[in-house]
Amino acid sequence: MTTPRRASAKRSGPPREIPPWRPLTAFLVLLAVVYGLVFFTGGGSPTPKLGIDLQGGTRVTLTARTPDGQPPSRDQLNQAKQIIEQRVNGLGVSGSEVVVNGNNLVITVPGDDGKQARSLGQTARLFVRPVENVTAATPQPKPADEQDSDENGETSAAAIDEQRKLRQAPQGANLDALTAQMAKMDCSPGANDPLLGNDLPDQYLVACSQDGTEVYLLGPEIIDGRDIKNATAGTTQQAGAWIVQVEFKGDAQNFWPTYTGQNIGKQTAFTLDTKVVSAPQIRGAITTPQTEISGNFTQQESKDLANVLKYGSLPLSFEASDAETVSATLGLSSLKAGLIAGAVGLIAVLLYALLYYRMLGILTVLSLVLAGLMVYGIIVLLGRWIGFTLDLAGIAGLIIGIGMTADSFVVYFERIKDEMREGRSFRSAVPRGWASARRTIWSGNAVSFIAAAVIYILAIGEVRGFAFTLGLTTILDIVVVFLVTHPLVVLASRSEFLSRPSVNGLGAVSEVARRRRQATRPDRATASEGSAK
Amino acid sequence: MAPDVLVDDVDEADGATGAPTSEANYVAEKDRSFLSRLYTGTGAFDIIAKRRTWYLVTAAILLISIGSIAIRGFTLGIEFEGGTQVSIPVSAGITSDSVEEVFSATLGEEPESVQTAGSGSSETVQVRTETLTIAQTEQVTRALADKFGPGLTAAEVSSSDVSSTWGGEITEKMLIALAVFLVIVFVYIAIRFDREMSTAALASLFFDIIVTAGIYSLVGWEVTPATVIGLLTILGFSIYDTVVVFDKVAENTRSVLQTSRRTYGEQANLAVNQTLMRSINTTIISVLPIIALMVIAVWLLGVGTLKDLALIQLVGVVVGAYSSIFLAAPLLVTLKERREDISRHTKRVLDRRARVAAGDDYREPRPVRGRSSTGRTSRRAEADAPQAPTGKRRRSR
Repeated sequence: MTTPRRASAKRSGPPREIPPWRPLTAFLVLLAVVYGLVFFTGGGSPTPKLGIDLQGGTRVTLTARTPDGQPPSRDQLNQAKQIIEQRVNGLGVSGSEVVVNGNNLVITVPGDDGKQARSLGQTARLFVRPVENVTAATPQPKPADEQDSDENGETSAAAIDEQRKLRQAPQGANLDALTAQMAKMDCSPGANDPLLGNDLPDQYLVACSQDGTEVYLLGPEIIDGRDIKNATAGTTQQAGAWIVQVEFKGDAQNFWPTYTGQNIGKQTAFTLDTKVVSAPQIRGAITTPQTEISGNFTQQESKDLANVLKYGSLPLSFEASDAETVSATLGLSSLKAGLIAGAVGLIAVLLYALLYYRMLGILTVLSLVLAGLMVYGIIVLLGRWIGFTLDLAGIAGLIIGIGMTADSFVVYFERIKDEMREGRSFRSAVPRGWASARRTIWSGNAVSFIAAAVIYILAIGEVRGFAFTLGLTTILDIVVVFLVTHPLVVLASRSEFLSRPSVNGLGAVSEVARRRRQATRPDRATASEGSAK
Repeated sequence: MAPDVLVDDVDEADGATGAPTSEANYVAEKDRSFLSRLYTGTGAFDIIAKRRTWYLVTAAILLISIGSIAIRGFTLGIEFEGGTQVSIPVSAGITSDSVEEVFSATLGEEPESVQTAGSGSSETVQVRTETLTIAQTEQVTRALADKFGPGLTAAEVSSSDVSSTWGGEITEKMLIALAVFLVIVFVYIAIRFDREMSTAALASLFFDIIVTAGIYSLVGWEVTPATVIGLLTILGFSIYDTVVVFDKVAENTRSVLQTSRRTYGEQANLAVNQTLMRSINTTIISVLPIIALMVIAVWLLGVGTLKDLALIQLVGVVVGAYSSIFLAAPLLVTLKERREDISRHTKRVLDRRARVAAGDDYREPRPVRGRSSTGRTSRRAEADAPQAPTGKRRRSR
């Protein structure tokens, strides 16, 4: 049954065989496209986005805790993410980010200034404070701000103390200093505020509005955010304008009507983490259970405000499950260790491949190097496009992926040996070996990919990076085997030099096949004699 | 039980008569060295027929693993117990004693443990304590920087706080992932191959998980979330290996029922032999980078993600290769032999062989058309003398 195939192989190569230069060219074009994107888009810096365990920084994993132990809703998580993002931005460290991972929020702050990120998950504090005075915010000169944030990296406790002295005063104190301070407040959105969530509620406070346009002088708190029973967004019956309805509970329920009755015309501020979220004016004594806050709200604004009021702050309470600060030096040495391990591992595999498969090992080397280049380029691009960060576990995934990638070659070459053992020449064994190796490579990589995908989707924490790189190498393995390794082997099988057993390391197998052929010959003779009789 | 007896019969029949059992590539070339036979795939190692032995070995390995988990248990890392870990890069004057001193003096209590890890420029002193507040951590950091500065700045001190529930949460996620993975893999293999293969593959997966965990427990390294989920990732490896072997088994047994030349078990054994060199090669190639990773992680960094992942992967790859060959494939044959059509076929093959052995030799020299007969006869012609001991030698290996 092999005869016709062999015959055709002699004439024009095996049937349905694609000319090997075509896939090779396709791969090189692909590689060129990837590196074109790497160098000519997104700033062109060819370095991947590194995790904080490789470049130093702080990572905090906040796990949501709900009172009834139910998983939090996506809405709640997203809202918490927004609030925490605002707080992270308040730190003023560039490159910081907050991502939702399962029921967790993961905060990453690169560099050495991020230690405060550890306290960001505390539930924000909401208070109702009377407004004593309000002015428009004055823009502040830059240098002051810079000095501020420099100090902050190391002595945040001291910074908080300092800010408290500047911006707070006990009840009954002279407010002149605070009024003077109002003009010095930097309310720009990126400004660093050490007092964020650290104000003393029973004292006066100078605070910015959330949008940074106004500065308020606020009295000591009159209602704690925890006394808000409910807040909902709605529309007024007559005008259809968006309003927020607030309902108090506990002591506040009795206090509020009295307070509003005595302070008609004054403003009251809802502050969240030392920022004024809303400062409505009291129009009359509020005796109904519901208090209406009206303004020129859009639907979204009224919803946001209602949410802020209802949840006191964060819609969920969080526990810092895992907080890690890695110094830049430790990060660098981890990166170094990972790279050395990768290089040593690669060289070891290459040496083994050369020893075992001789010249064919060179094809393995070439394929691995090309696969490595491709992986690197794609990781750089993914860092830019989807924010994929390469962390220590990811490097482990890549190193372990070397072995998995090389395995496809092993499967392929062993199948070629199978075919040669049955008496085929190297040249004719290649297409048949490929046909069966291809199927195995597909099934094997499919399960590997399923494993990586399941882990990536279901796992939390650092091992996601591992699963991601492992999945990526699995896909690239298929690409490289089909577009690089196989065409190279086909080319090798057509080269007379590479077909020499001493060169391609397939001598022993050819020897087995030769002995078998020899052993068969006399039999054939007997057989034909037998049938002749 | 029944299939095992049948296999013993095969051996007996084989050994007694030296009846040809295979095509050329099933023949053991006894005059070649072990390595050479391994390399050329002409080993004809009797793995399937010896499956009782392998089941015993497997059971023993399982027992040791389960015993170690039960008696020694695991050393749980900080992620499972909760606490704070502070690490300080080693420079002039920094020793574990001096760090401990500063620590106790600052906080007024002794740390749980102080040790050094890693080497060279990556050497660190690691202090573990109960969970510290952020303020306390900062206090200690500043005290350390004051004492050991200017060689040490506060920014060089790394620290991590972990709540005691974090590890549990990761374990819970892992168990869910494990369940999902097992279901998907079972379905995938059942569709791609068949149900018996699915079952055998899953059994070897369970074996891999238990043994890898057991060996980790024996080594006694700390269990971290990286370890726990590393355990999940070896599943991919293990199942990959099994799929490669099964793929060859499926290829070899595609039309086994149509002839009465060889049994399912013998064809499966041939497949195992043909993939043996691949399994060994793949294991070596996978293990080389993992060893590099582990050596460098332990030597340079001392602790951490890289080390834990590397050990788990190392054990997982080796155990996965073992289980594909010595557990999954034999188990597959045992399961298949329970199917009526396969067991009837096996019996038919053995009966025929027994008849031949009993002296109905007249059939034997008759040449049959096709490659297989030439291989068969060639083997007879080639080695008359070594034929008789074949079975015995195989068994004694």
